Amino acid sequence: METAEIIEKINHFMVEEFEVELGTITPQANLRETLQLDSLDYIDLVVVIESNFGFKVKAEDFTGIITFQDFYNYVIAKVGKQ
Amino acid sequence: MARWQGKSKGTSAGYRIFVFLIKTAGVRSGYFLLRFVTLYYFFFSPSTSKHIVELYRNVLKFNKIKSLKGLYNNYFNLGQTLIDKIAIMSGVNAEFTFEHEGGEQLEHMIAGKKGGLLLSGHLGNWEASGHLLKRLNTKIHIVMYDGEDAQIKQYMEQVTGPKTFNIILVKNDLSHIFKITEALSKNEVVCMHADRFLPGNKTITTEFFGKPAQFPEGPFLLALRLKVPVVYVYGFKESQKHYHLYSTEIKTYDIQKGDTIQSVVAEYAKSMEEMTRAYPEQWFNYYNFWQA
Repeated sequence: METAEIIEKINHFMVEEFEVELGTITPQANLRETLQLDSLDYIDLVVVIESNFGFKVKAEDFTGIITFQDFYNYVIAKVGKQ
Repeated sequence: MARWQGKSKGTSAGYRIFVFLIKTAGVRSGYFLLRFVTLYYFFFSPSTSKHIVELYRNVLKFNKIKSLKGLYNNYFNLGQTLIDKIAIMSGVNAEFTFEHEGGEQLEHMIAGKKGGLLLSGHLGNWEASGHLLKRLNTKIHIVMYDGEDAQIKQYMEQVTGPKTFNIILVKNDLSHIFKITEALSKNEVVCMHADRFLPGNKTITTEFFGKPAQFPEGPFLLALRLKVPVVYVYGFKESQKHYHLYSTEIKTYDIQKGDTIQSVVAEYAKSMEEMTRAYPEQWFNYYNFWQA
């Protein structure tokens, strides 16, 4: 899967699952604030990642993820290893 | 108290006094001391009392005398259930009896090997009877917000001795999400309160006694997303020594089958409403439950 394709897929499910405007999703935007995630909402993100990209998410994976760019990089790296 | 702030009343010192008394002089001595504590709250805690009276007068349509009697009994019941919880956890539980309506549902849940989510509210004292879960022969996890007094939690862990339950704290590092999913994948049981939320948590508004009330989204999101078997559980004190536990039929929610977060929350609210009508003096939410 190409990088651009992964980013498009991520943005698509963000809009679908979290009901945010596509325009609010920018690489530097804060993931948590933009998606208005609370502590238990992350289950949505975990389930959506696992079902769309087929890899298991671990707790420590999220420690450095703050922006959408961090999130793209994380998924791209994981998909690349599959 | 307009909204639950994530802290429960009571201090570590207060718990210590009650634990000492219960262990040395038995549960009845705790109940005796409780009479004075109850009177204190009845007369000097208008901020909590007004919400209970509001429920009795305006929602359940009790008359004034019944409402005031209900308020006193409410505080006394709360105290008793806390004392009972300490007594049971400390092993002083020989004198309690339990009747478990729907107990087989929990056994079916475990037999299904998909784990299970038990949802309860601050209505009655289901945790006091939690030792009955031991018979399920699986690990029990209790999900708690990290806002409750750490001293009390720490002390209660000491009182309970070897841990019967594992506590999963909801934290900002998201570790709780993975602990919950891991537990369920091992066919273990996860218990959560589904009626309170902290400022900043997402909520779903649904009808509760005919008026819009907010419920936390999190527990229901877990049920929907993970498609895990769900049972609503309640436990009510029916006499000094007797608890009546209820487990509803197993529910499995699925977005593909038309379940929505709204419909799932509404179903839970309905169940909670029925139980509140049956046991109004064991409603333990001391804040404006209907605040928009």
